[in-house]
Amino acid sequence: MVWFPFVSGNKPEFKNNREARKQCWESRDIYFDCLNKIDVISPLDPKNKIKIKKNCSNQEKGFENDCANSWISYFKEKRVTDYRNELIQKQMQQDEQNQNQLQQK
Amino acid sequence: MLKFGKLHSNVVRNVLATTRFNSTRLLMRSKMVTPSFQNMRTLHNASILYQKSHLSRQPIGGSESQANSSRRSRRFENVEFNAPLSIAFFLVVGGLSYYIFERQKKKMDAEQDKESRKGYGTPQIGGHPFQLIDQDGQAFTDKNMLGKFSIVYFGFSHCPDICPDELDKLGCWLDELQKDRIELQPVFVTCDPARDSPEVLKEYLKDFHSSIIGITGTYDQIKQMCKQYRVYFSTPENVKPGQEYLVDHSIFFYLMDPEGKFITILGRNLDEISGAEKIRESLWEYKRTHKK
Repeated sequence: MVWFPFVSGNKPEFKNNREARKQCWESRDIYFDCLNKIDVISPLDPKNKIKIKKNCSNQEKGFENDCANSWISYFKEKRVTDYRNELIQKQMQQDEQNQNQLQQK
Repeated sequence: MLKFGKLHSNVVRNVLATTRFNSTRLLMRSKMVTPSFQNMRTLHNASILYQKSHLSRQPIGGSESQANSSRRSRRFENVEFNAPLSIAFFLVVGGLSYYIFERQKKKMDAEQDKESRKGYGTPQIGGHPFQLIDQDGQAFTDKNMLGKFSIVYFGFSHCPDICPDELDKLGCWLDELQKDRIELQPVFVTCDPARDSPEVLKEYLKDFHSSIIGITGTYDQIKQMCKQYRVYFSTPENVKPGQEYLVDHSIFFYLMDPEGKFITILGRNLDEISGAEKIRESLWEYKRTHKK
């Protein structure tokens, strides 16, 4: 698990209730939107670290403040797998379309 | 040559086996009991063989055996032409076998009927005894599953996004089904007994449908329960106290009948409406097939 020394130092304990979850998901969406704008898929990739810090540091802080530590890495990993799944799905749809076009010809 | 002879002696034996017992015995006595090398050589000619077996039907100095066979044949003749007796015999055997067949058929029909009610390929999910506790610390066992339809979900309270979503969905289903006066007992079983004490579950479930029962126990009890429902779950190893972690687990709802037996499974692909629809259909089908 990733340890965030600066965040968790003065971070209040995550209360697992509906409000807190909603807050966490909202902050996550804001953070991921920001990543989308700068074309960063994996926030875990060290190559993207500087880019994120430059453009989305506030959003990242907000996200990491509002979510439980275990969730932060989970959501970051999930972003990558979701993106991959989407790609595969798109590829499959494209293949299907191509096949249909071939059949029509 | 010896080998060749042996092969033929086998053929001879096979042929002889089909001839009458009497003749074989006689032939055996005369030639075959201690077959010499010379005998075998002569036997490999088929015509000789037939001749011999034909000849052997003639009793060799056996006035005793002839008398025997004639006496026997007279006795057989009596039975053969005793029509009333054979008809009676036929009726008794026929009637008896008919009776046995009918009984067996009825038995098999009943079994088949029972089997068809179960549905094809019903997996062995649930239905075994378990001993856990609910969010109030009260015992919750397999007995609590009897007499009502239940819907069982496995998850954990520290679950980031899927479990809360699924539990919200469950709440929608319950409300939807209540409109049709369908009552389900919703059961949430934790896969994370180390952190999910009854108190934690109670606090957690406040956010969801009020009728959901939270179930926990010792690690071994939960493991047993998950095994019973074929639920995969894994807690990370070597977790330090106070350290945060997630539990990986399979995501399914299990619809259970009033005998605590499995009816069907509901996956993540179902939404607020299609899930309730599937439950409604499953229960309708269940009631139709279990009507006496």
